[in-house]
Amino acid sequence: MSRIEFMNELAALLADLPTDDRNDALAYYNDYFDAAGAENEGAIISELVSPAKVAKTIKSELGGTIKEDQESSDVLPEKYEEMPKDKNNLLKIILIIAGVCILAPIILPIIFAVFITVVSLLFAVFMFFVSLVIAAVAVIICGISLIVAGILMIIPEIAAGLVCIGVGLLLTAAGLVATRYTVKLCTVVFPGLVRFTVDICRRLVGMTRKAVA
Amino acid sequence: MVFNTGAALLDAIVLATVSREEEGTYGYKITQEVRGAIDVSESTLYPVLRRLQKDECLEVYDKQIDGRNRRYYKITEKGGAQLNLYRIEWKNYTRKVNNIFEGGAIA
Repeated sequence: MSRIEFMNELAALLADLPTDDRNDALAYYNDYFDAAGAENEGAIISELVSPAKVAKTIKSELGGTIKEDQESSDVLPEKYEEMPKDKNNLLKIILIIAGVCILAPIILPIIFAVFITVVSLLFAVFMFFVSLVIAAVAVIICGISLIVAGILMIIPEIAAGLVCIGVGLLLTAAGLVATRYTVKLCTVVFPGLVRFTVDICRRLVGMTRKAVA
Repeated sequence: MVFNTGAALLDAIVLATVSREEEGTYGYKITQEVRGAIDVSESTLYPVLRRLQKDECLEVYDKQIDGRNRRYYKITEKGGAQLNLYRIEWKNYTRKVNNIFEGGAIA
């Protein structure tokens, strides 16, 4: 940064001061650069650190007097660095509360809708596996009914009756096996589903916590 | 810089520096002299000079140098009195601290 750029930026930063105060400060630093000579320009600029720092020093001094027992070698900057930080946090909190109040009528229904959708989806998946078990049981019932029908048919028609009993036994067996395996499938899938749901919930909570922090 | 310079000490040093020149002196020169003694940033002194001026311990006048106006600071009577007070306080303060460092009794 050159002296001219530095002084221009400083002038801009001091624009909110009363004219006299601003002109005094700018005159002082212009004099300073002049007295130091062009060869020292770079050294001075790095010593001053930045127009922002100089402006802050000038403004905080004009804001009030330093107390007699305030100790620090670079008298002003550190103390005044800390105040803006606390103000920023408070401001953040107020903004969040205001934002929540304003957006709540919109956001809450949306959140509710999303939540219901997710729950319904999970329920649907759950029911799918249950339906597999039910289908398997239905096959068993079919099988058993066929066996009974077959037995009843033996008196009038032995061959047809035997066929029915045979098919019925097959179906019953198939149904039993199917039931066994679908039930096992459910016992495998359900814990996974539950863990998945819990995981999503935990992530959501974590995300909202991070956003607020 | 091992020891911090408080606001009062800074005021005293600036007043003493300015008082050395009968006709007064200007910002850059004051800063160089003060930095010979203590470690302060070049931006620290403007607020101090400003405050001393507002407290009427320093007065300002402009002088034409190389076709430009240069602002000179000069010590006032009030400033001189304040400086003397600081000098006395400093003597007491350093005496007590020296006593502690050298193991003597506090007078």
